[in-house]
Amino acid sequence: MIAFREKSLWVSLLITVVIATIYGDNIYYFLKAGQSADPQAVAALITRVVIAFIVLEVVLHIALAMGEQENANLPEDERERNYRLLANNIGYWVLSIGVIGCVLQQMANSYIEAQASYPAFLSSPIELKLVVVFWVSEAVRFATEIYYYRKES
Amino acid sequence: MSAQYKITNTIKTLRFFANEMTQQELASKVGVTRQTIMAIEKGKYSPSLEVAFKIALVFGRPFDEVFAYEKITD
Repeated sequence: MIAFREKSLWVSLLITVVIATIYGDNIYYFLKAGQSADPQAVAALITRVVIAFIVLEVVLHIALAMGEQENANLPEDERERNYRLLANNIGYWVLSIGVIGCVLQQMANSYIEAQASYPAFLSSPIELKLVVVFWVSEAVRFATEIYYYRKES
Repeated sequence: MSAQYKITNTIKTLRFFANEMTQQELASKVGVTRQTIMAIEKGKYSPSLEVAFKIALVFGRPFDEVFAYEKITD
């Protein structure tokens, strides 16, 4: 039987995949549109994605905890903490590189007069690119932690 | 090439001789999850000194009777 913490990670990873499946085509459309993307529509999409992520996380974790009340109340032990910190470290690197990349790209967009030759997604709204970077870093974090759990089983 | 060592343990045997104590019972006494005890038994996770001492304490045995640091290659 797998631990509650691992089940929780599978749920979180599943949610990130579900969110990507539902909103992935919209995000791709706006990334492809580049500068011509409507800022209000982008803001509305980001709001929907964030709300859907929070609602799914809360509802599914409540359901999971209700199914396993005894295990859900157990404190995290040293092995679980160790794996969480290792996964957080890798997720942090992905997030940092992504954010720095987005900021550098934004600076390049401002200073270099070569935007016409860019692929459209490089000039797409920075907030949308940051949401994608955050989503990727979360997926990497969940997947890494699950990898450590699976490695020992 | 330097010699390689591995942490081994006799937890499974000690559980058997302690009235066939279950992994869950040991986990509750030590304050970790059952999965952690299982990983330690299999040698796939090396516990902290604190957890290792707690395990030895549960069985009332000296530390080096429970855990050993053995050479696996020269």
